[in-house]
Amino acid sequence: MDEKKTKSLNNIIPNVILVFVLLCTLLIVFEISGNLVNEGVFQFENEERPTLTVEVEETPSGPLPTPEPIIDA
Amino acid sequence: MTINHKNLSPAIKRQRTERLLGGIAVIILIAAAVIGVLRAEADLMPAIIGSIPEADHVEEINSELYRAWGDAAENQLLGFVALGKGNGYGGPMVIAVAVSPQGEILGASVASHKETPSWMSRVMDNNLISTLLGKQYTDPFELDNDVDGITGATYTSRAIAQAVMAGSHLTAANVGLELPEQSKPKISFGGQEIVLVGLFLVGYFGHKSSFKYKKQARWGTMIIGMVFLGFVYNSPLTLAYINKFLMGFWPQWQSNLYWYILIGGILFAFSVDNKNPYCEWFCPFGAAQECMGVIGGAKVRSSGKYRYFLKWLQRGLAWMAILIALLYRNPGMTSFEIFGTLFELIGSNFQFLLLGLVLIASLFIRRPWCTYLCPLHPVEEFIRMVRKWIRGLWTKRKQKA
Repeated sequence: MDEKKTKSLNNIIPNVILVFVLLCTLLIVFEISGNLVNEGVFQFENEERPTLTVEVEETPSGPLPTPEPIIDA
Repeated sequence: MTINHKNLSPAIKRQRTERLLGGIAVIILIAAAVIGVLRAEADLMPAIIGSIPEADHVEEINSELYRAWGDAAENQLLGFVALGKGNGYGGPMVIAVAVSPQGEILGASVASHKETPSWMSRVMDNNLISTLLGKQYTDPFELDNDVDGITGATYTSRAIAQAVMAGSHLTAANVGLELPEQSKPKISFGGQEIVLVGLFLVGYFGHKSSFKYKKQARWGTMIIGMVFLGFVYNSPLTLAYINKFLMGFWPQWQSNLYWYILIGGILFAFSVDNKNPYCEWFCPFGAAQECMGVIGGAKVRSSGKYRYFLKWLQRGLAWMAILIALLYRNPGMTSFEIFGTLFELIGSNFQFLLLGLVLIASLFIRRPWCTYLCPLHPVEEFIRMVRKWIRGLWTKRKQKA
């Protein structure tokens, strides 16, 4: 029984190690990518960046009107 | 005579494949290094303007010095902007330093640096640069003297102070101010260097198979390495050191003696008896993993059918990290080790998550970081492979003669 248990454990361990390493590798890739973004390596050139112009209506100056209280009937 | 490749043993076939891939990897790295050198230098103008934002415009005097005018007609001279250089943990650092005509620091802005991002942001968050404003060009700009360095980022703090001082001196020389007498750089041989030399000596002689108290000596060096090189000085060997070495960013030896002892010691031990006392005997992170292993009863676990895949994944990761660093000429940019995360509690969320995973795994697997992830392990394997190859060629030539 013990031998069977050890055998199945030995079969599981490589898979556990693989999952561990892949997870860690993913975190390392995220870390390096983050550094590259911070350093401006993955940055768009200004000319290539699409720009959007939005016309905004001028807001009236002066104090804001106070809302009327809602009175429950 | 022809060699029948079909009759070669799997070990020899593997060795040949490794040599071939190793050769290709090195050629690509050399190409990346060349491209990195040829790439255009960073645009320094934003930092120059940033150091003195009240200026209307700047006028170039030479490639390292600019005049900052307060008006378009150039009647009001605000000061000068000089590009001061310092030597940081990752390599050279350039700071645009705005200096008044009387030699007072008016502003400073980092133009380019090669530091590990988490360390640099720590220094920037602590506003080290703003503490240097108002200083005179005659000040010593020395850490623990007139500059308060940031704990855990000594090299970066020193580089900033050095660059600001260099910028102020450049301006002073141009304006005709009398420069203070430059003191000779002090040789920094302190506790850190003494501990390292001691560990190398014990590691080197302890490695010998005839040494009686090998186990005890190894645990002794590991604990001392973890406490001093880890928690006290936070100076374990990282990929940034190797990248710096490859890029030729060799810092001033007087103030970076530790760096030279570490790199020189490892290369010496390798060339003499093909052994690396650092990793097995006093790497602080290796020791931390082994301590966790003692608690959890960790063993050497076989990765079975995934063995070669995991080995090549580790090599690929290290190669990629070196390649990007060489391409962008920034040694610390891809240094993904989690040593500082453990010993100084500095790092990104990803690094803390990675550290947690590795420490948990260390409870059951012996040194999981070193075995599957550390980028220094493939570098060590590569040096070993080259050494063996050269020795083989040497022996063949000798036999022929």
